[in-house]
Amino acid sequence: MPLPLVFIGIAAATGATGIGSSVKAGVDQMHAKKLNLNSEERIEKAASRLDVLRKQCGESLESLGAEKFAVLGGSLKDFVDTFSQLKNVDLSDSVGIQELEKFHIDKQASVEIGELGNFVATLTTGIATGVTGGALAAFGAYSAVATFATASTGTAIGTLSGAAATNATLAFFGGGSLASGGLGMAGGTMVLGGLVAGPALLVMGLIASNKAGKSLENALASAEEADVVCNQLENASFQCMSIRRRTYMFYSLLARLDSFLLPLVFDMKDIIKKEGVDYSQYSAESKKIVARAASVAVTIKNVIDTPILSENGELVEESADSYNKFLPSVDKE
Amino acid sequence: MLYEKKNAIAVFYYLIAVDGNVTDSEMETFDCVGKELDPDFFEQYQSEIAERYRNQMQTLIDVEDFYDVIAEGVDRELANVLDENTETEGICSRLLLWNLLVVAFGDDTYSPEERRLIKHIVRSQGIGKDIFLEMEQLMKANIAVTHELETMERSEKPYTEIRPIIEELESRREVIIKSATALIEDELYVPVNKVEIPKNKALEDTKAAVGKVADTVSPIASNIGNQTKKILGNIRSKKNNV
Repeated sequence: MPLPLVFIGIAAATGATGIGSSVKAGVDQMHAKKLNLNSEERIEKAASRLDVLRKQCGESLESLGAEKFAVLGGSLKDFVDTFSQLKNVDLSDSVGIQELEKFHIDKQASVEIGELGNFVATLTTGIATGVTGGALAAFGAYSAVATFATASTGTAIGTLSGAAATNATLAFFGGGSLASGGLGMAGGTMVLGGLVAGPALLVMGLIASNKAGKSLENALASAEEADVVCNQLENASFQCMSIRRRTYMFYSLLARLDSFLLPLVFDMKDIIKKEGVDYSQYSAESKKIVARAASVAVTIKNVIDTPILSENGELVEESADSYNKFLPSVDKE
Repeated sequence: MLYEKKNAIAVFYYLIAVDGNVTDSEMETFDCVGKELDPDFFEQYQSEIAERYRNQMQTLIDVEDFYDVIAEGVDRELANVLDENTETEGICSRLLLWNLLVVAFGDDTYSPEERRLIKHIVRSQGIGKDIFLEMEQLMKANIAVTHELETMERSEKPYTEIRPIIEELESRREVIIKSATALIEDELYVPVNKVEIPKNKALEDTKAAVGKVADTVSPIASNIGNQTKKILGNIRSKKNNV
């Protein structure tokens, strides 16, 4: 009975081909599902990381802004008030003035201290008016000189918060989460060099299409798109991290400088009580204290004036050079 | 890098000894850090760490080797790294670094030997130079603010005058710690890896083999079918003829 066997053989071969195809289709679908899920997870994690860093970045800028206000309205104002009482001041005759070179004190010191007085005066008006988080962030991010130059033209300092709010970068730092469409606050404008808004839109589209996608080919294509999006999100995260780190470095530098200035200002007040206001009659030690306080004050002003972000929200690389320029003098204190 | 808590805490012990002078405040800081990092077990192995240190010091040939023997002890402690994918308990390299700085500044003196040992750890454990310098500056700022705070608290000035300053200084310390924490957390972020779809070789091979069989069998089967039809047709026609 050979014939039935032949037919069974034919049926088996044909059937096996069918099973092979359907098994492969099943495996493909499983892989597609796995790949889509993975793409979704990769994007979600990268996006949530960016969101965390964005918030940290905003907090750091706000802290630096608040720190600048606190220093200017605190020890620096105290210094200017105390220093302005002195008469016949000639910092160049202070014993040990060479030591103060590290604090960038030179012939221009008196001029700079004069500017410092105007600077502080402008600021204290601002403090009295009150500032919002947005303005503090702006103050942390940008050159204080630019900020206060605007303020000194007659613009009420309180309006700074409104100006800051329209800034795409600050909107980004202060905006809602990616998932809740917080990037809408940036209005699709260039944010952090344009790295964020585009990928964010892609993220949403990609996740939606991934959920519906079943074919392995589509899943592979989506995974490649996810590579690009994740890469962009990671780049934006890196930028936020870099800004946060630089901002906190300036914060800690300012905190250290202020810790030098405040006791010196207290010493200056004691000197005035004991030796009066005529600097020319001061002891060598007292002159040294005044000169040292003046040099720290000028350095603080220079630190405050150093912009960390450019107008389009990018990290100003030169701020690292400025930081490194200030650091050795502070370390030697 | 992820280290066992006991190993990391042992490194702090070497650090407080490296300048040849262990002060009470350094020991106090060491105890505090140990209890904070491993509250459940630190006291159980605290004496074992001291014993390990003493054993390591037995290898000292003469006093010139002191730093080298300390560094070798540290290297031995940090040689066992945990698998970051499977272990959840452990101390990451940046947390180790931050606590090294906490211990080094514990007695208010950051000696050149302490700095040298920390730099050795930074290099040997692949911690970024930028991270080290940044953390070092944060710690210096923390110490400066803490001293300022202590001075203010001891001040004879009216409380109403110094209260806002104290509040400001406390807030500064919080910001500095927050900054260090963020730097440590950066290390702990692990992105989701992209899955690679494996090519199922067995399935592909079977499919190809089955395809070949089908290609071979189908013409034969077709031929046999035709032959069968022919035979059956002949049988039917013969029957009809009969």
